[in-house]
Amino acid sequence: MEATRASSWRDAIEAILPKVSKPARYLGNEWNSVHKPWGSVRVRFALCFPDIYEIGMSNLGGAILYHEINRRPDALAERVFAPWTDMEEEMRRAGVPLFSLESWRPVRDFEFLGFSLQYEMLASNVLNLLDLACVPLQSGRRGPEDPFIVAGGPCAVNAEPLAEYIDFFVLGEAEELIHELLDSYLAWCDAGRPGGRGGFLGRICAIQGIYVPSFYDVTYRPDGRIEAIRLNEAGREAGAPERPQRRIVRDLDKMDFPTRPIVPYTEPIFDRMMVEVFRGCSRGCRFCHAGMSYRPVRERSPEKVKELARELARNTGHHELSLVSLATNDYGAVQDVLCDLASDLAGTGINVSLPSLRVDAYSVELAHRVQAVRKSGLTLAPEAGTQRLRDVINKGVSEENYVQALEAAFRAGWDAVKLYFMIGLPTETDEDLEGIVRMAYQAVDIYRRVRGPKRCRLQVTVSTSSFVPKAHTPFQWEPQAPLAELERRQAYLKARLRHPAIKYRWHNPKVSFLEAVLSRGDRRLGKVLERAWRKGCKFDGWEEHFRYEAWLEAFREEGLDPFWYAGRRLAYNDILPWEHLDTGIRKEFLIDDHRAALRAAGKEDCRWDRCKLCGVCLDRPGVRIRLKPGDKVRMAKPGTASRAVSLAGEPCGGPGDG
Amino acid sequence: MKELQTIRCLLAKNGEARFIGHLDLARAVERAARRAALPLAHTEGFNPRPRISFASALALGATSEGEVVDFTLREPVPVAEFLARLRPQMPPGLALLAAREVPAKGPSPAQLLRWSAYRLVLAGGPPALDWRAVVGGFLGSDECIVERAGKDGRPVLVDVVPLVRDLQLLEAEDGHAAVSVLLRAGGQDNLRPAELVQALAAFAGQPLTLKAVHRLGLFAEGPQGLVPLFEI
Repeated sequence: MEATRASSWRDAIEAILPKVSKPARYLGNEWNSVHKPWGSVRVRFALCFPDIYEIGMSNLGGAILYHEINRRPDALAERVFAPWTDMEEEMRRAGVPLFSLESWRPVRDFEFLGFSLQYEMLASNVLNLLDLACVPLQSGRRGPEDPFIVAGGPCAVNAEPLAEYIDFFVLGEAEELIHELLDSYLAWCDAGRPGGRGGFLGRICAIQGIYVPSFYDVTYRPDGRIEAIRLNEAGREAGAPERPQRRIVRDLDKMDFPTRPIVPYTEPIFDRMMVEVFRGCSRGCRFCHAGMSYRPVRERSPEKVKELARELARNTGHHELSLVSLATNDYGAVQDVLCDLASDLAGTGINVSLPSLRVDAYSVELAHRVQAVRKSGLTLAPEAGTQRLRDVINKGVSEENYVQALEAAFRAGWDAVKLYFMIGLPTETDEDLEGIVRMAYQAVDIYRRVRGPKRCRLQVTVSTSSFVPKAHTPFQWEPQAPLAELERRQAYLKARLRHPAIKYRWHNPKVSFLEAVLSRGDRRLGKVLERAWRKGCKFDGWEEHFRYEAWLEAFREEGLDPFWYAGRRLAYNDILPWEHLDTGIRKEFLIDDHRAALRAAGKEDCRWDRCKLCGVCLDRPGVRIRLKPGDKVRMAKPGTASRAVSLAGEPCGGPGDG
Repeated sequence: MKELQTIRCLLAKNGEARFIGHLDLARAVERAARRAALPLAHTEGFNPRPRISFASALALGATSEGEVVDFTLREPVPVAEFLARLRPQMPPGLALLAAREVPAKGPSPAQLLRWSAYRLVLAGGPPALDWRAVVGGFLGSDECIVERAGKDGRPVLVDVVPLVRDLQLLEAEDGHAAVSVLLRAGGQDNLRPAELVQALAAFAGQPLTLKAVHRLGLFAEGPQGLVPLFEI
């Protein structure tokens, strides 16, 4: 392993490591890390999560790609994370460029450098890492020796502020796409690299899921709104699509899953084995970017989940297993799988945990049964304090659900409960804030009622984040509440939530404000981003590094108004900066759902109730949903018999049928 | 009621593993034991932990050829098999040098620990140091006080002399010197290598830096003198 280290950088890095905090996170030789000799492959991919190791190592997507690339004999993947500030300082001082963990090689020596865009505030880190890697920031300035810079992850469906700095984006799921990409790269190399960098981008733009920003031009109206986003001449010549489409994987069971994940030395934020039980969410909460952009729901079979879990335990030595998905107990066969798994693994001291719980008694009881070995805190996310507002955002939690969930929790022995809410939601009033207060105190009352007059060991933590309008959701047109208003609402809650058993936590609204700006941003923000970074902005998601004034300065200097991006109510016929990117969800659906929201009309989960025709299942060949009212849904595999169901619940011929 | 068995191991930590701190090391060893499918006994109560007990925490940056770790198993495993199963699971830089069975109900290695043996590399100067004089000066003193941060942050004064044994200069060259030494360890009084260096600096009349720390072994006190903790 140590023999694959590029020796020239090894000495320099070893000289730095004793000077920094947690040096073990830069070693790269953890159990199950893959070390392939550099010269033994034809293409090398540096996978970069643009935050620190402990956060990046909890990202399952990165682990999946690491596995996919490394199982090819002609390719290797190595990991890169953002060095912490002390390490970065030492590196810059010693002239050590950003290096990959496994072989300690400069990232600029790789053929591809891929960034995972998990949240908007990582954007400044992306620029910082490109700079640290000694790769030219602008795509247009890169030459034949520079790696191709690619970005994927949930925020890729609106990353226009990064358009100038990224060679191409991956929209959606990359497990299958990565192979098409690498095959195409090798073919291009074999052909003598025709057309240079542009030639390669021209080749790959036809792969579904790939978006090359330089093939599209954006024009603006005098008032600042977008006039049009159009395929330009280079794009037309290359055969790029008018609207690049998000890529999804149809059958999770067919996909290889990493059963030899790397076992970190230091403690990642989620220090567990992970098995993805399903992808996508059909609940339809209107604020939720993940829920909208990972549709449709695809399940992994219970047998497969069990098999993967057992293998993971054998290969890692972890003692906690997490069943990962957006809302695990919507998972069809969850009860069987969990009880089976729990008993299988209990003897070896392995704790199964469900990070995301629905708010109802069933889920809590399930969690209790499953987490029999150890109890972590219980988290519920009602998101809004009144039924009315919950219906607006389509978070289907009734008062009854909430009360029963808490009763079940306290009966089962939980003493600590975390309640997540958002403030600044569309149509929110102070009455809704009072609702949050009421729900918090209600938890205290229920605890007393269930546990009796004994000493109250209850700890209720109310945590609020600020609503951010996200692209490709029904709320994408909604303004974010002004900063002063968000601060007022937080102060309101702080004043009202005064009880020894209740703790109130809130997120810095200034960060949420920047998040809203970037989330709804267009390409012009690229210049602002670069300025902010040059002023020293990075690790914006970290309270101690966030520099609000520097950001505002950057906006002023570029002559752009951040409030225009975050605080405007957009019109349905506005061309949105992400309009040209197709997630599969029809704009008409988003508009309909938005209107329904303003009427406080909640909707049921489309797997159990009627299809709302969002569009994500309708025009993808080979992907069908078989809906049985009141029953669980399985994706029918392509080629098997299936029936689409109309809005009225009647079987009918679906698109592409017969 | 199953028979508990305790196996005491001698563990080496070298190369890049020196950058792994103690808590991370403990976690890595625990996971290696799980991968080896060893039948570890667990503690009782709310948060069961596997019964793996380290004699002493090794400082981040230090290497060692003599860490002592006890593993308590809930059913007996022959020592040779224990080693054969656990060795391949150890991450790079960590090696199991030896293992032996010890009474399961005996005192923990941490409880028995009294002295830590080190090889330290120090650097000083310019001006060039007479290392022999520095070491000799220290050895000739009845007392030598250094300051240490107390539990509440206020500095505490510690006399280093009774906490040091067998200080020997091994080699000296070009502003660097290597010494071997035994430092008091374990619960009651203990001394850290950096504190010894602080003391020696007083005799050198200039600041000294600690360049390398290598733990040679851990010792308990027996009736006839020091006994290696691994053997006891």
